[in-house]
Amino acid sequence: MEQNREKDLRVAQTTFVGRIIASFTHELRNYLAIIGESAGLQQDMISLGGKSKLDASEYLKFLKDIEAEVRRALKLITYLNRYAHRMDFETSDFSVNEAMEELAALVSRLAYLKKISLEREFGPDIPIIHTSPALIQLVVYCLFDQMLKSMSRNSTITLKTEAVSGAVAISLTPRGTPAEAAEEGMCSGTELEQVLQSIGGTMTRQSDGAATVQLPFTKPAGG
Amino acid sequence: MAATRVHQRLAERRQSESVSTRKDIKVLLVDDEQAFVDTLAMRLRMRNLEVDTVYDGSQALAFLMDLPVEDEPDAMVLDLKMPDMSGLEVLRRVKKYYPRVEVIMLTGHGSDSDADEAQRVGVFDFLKKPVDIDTLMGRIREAHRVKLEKAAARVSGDDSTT
Repeated sequence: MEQNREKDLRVAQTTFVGRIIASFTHELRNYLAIIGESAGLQQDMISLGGKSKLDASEYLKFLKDIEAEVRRALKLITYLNRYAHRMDFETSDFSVNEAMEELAALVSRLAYLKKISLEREFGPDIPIIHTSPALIQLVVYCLFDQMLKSMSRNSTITLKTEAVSGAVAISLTPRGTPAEAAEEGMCSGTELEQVLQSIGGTMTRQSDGAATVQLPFTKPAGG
Repeated sequence: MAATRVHQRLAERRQSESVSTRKDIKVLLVDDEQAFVDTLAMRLRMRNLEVDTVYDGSQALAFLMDLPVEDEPDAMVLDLKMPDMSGLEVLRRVKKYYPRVEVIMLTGHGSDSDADEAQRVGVFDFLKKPVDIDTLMGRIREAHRVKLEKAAARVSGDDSTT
């Protein structure tokens, strides 16, 4: 039983990592394509020139496009790098808001492709906690994945964090029209509850499809 | 009778040759990355292609709808992962309703299964972003040439190229 649970968890984690990397590399290729075309256009102007010459402001626009894409790419790389380092240790001190911001940035394209918008409402003054950030991200991603598959386009999913009596609450709330045929999510409810139990967390689900994960405040390792 | 057919084929070939040296190969670019589409469109226009741009699959199908056959693009350069309607779905519909349009998929997505599926549906080529402009130009020209060959074969009743 325990072996099966661990196997399911490993499969879910691997799938999650795979999806994040696939989405990341896809986005990065898009950024590089824009950079490549903008740089290529400058070359064309010089080598092909002729009637299609741009004026200085147009050149500037394309140079700024390159700069903007480099910034977008760097931001995404930073998030992916931080996400990868979450797995350096089984548990660590971390900011829930930072972990959720990073997760949202890495999965927002998956929502965009389904024309579903992912909104963030992060509460202020949430203390640093000590637990497994990678497992928390996995649980929240599983809930998000379930919602993506059960909502139709133009829906909204709100990712919210708040401090509630001795705990941090992370909730996901779907708003919009349910999909005609909802697909199955990546993880089962029992699996998620077991993962949360192993790190002292709990999960509640509301009738509107919203789900809330609660993590007890745990002192930072050094604190 | 046979001579007539040969003459007809020659006429078709001449027509194809004269058309293939035109400077107005028509291309439709379909990608949700607007900055990418707009810049690529400028570069292709600088190479004497006639380029139209749309930013999703529904717009692409709307663009093709009711277009007289002679105004259809010779090639469509199509992204795979787009919101709402995927490039594969657009490809399926294009091949069903506008089979004369050759489709080149240009994507940042690297899945072999998507490439296989696109191949099965009848994609002309499957390229990955970022692509070298000369490579893309070469594939567009080749798609145009194949389109003309198929058209010539249809006229002469020889459908072996389709």
